[in-house]
Amino acid sequence: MHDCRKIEEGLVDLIFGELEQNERSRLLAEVESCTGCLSEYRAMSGTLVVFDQAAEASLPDESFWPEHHEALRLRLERLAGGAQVERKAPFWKRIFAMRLPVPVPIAALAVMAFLVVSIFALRPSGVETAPKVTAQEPHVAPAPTIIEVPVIQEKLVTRVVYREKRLAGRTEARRVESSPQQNELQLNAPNSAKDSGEDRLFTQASLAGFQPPDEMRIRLIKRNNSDEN
Amino acid sequence: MSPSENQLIRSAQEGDVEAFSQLARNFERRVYTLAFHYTRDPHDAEDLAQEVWMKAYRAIGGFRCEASFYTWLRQIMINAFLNHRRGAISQWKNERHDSFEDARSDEGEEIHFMLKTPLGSMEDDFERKLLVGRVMSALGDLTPQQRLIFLLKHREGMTYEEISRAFGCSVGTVKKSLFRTIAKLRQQLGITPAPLEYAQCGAG
Repeated sequence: MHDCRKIEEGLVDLIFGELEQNERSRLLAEVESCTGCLSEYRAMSGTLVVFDQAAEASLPDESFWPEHHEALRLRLERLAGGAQVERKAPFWKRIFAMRLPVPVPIAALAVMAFLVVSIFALRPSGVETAPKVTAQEPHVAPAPTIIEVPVIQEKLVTRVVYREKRLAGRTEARRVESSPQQNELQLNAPNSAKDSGEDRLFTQASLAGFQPPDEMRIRLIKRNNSDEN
Repeated sequence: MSPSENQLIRSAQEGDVEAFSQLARNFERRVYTLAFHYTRDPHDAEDLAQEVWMKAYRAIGGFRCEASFYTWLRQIMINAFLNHRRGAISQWKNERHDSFEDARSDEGEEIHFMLKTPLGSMEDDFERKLLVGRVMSALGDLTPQQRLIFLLKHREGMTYEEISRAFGCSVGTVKKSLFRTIAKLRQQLGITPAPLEYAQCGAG
């Protein structure tokens, strides 16, 4: 029994060559037996023929293809050049340029976990820091400061020492008590100065030959009030 | 696959641009033609075809020679076409549609004339351009997916199964899409069931 609707469904397979040889022959025979189906079949085939004619006519002429190929070749060379540069990029650049296809929720969770761990790791803990403070205390003791004062100009100090000749014993003791250096000077004074002016109360001592000592010894002589009396 | 093609593929996989360029020369007309019928604009077709080749060059290292090079390239092409921005496609249609709209009144008669007469024997170039304009306009009325399925089936000769695998749909969906596409093209081109004496080349 011929069914035009059923034949129409098979016309697409027929015009696009999707049927086996036996099936194709059977369907063609049935199409030819019906004027309506044959007309429909030819209209569909005709549409494809018109399309093919237009498709061929729309193609560019032969002069187009060398230019097209050259443009393609240039783009390929540019692409290859870029890829070569990318291959030569240093390791750290490739690390920073690296992309990992990670779903957004997983990436968000990873970032949040990292932040939480960072916060806990950086948070100061009282239990741990207390011993550290006590341990560090002895080391915090202030270091002695040494101040170096440059000597701009040497100063020569001369001092005139007067000796009380008559009251030598008593005055000597006071002088030693007040200034040991003066005592040294006196001890080193030449004898000529001692003997030159007997009638004079004080005699000028000479500092010739005086050598300042490298180390100074201070002798403290305690005096009792009973001695003066 | 010819030995020379194998050799070119191996060289291209090692980064030889010239070898890949030679490989592209063998198929660049097919790629461009399909891109042109898909986009219906020469500039968009140029961009799209080059985009396909760029993607193929980047991916050539993963080609394992399990299928033919063109089969592998065609899958890249399909993905590139479907991802191509839609806005760039309709320029040709917008420019041409109006100019050919006026000539539609008597187009059924002219189409029958074209079916009977070879294109090469047309009197002047105008009729050729008229035909191209109508067909491109009719293609523009299809959805991108319908258009691509039709081009892959009719121009590329892919089977229902291959198309359904490439698009991730059933064979029945492909058949329905093709049927609707033919119906739309017929309607847009004004092709009614032809008198039998004019339809000699349609039966094949």
